[in-house]
Amino acid sequence: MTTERWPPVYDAKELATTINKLVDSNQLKSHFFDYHSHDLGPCQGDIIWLATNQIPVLDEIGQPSIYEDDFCSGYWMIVGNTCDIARNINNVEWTQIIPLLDLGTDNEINNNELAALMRYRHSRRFYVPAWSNEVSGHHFVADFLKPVTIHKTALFEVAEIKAKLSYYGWMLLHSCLVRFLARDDGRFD
Amino acid sequence: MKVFFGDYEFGLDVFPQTGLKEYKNKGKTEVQFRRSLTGTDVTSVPGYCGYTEILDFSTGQIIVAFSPGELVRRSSQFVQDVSMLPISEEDEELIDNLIARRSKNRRIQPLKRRLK
Repeated sequence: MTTERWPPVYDAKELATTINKLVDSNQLKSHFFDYHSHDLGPCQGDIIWLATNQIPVLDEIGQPSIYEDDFCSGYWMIVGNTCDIARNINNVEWTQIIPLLDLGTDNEINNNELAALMRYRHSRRFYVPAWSNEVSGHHFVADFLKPVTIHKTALFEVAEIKAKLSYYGWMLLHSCLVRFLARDDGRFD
Repeated sequence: MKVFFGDYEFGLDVFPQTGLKEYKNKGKTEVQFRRSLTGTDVTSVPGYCGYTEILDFSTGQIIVAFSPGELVRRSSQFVQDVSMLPISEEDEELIDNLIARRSKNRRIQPLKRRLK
């Protein structure tokens, strides 16, 4: 086992700059979602409803299991690449989604926690503000730690697209996804 | 109106207003998709993952051509410079604790069929 610190493959400085610029941009705060493109097919970053909040996982002994928790909302975010989603299903049959956890309303989250969520300086979850009156007042995080493989047919025929990210929202998701997978090695911190 | 890009020839009529569309490129079926960037109707021309060309529907011109990595880097051109801190360990801990606090009735049930 190596004892040296592994540097990030990605340009960490630029990635950090990008995330911070986007988060602090008024455009991002006011334009997180795109409300004009709902007739498009499923894309990376879309919020979908699947009517199941059960998450398939391998448990501590590698056994196929179902993870459940009351804050698993039944809403999911597509993180699979749009290119793969668009390709013929005979060539690319599967894609990935991650669950949206409903953290509750302002009454259930203190100001420090809410500020931290909105700073996007945490790497394992992605903060998602309420996208419609249906979930008004609630704060969500997409959990990068629990990706689920889904058949693409379910995306097109079963899933209901609830919201689409704007360009800025997608850019932030993209940056945070890269950071989650390729961030600096913190084993020796 | 026809749009040309490399070996591809596009007629704007081949692009539907919604959904996915297949078309032929030298007899080979390709797939195109659309999404809106910066308020302009665009499409990603299929090719190879990691490389994307964007077609501006209003002008029929290729307006952007770069890899997703380059896309992230170039995004910095769109917004103002602020700070450089990518990850805060304090925020990580705050969010981890928030998740743990808001977790209710966490349970993991094995599927009936066990691995042999």
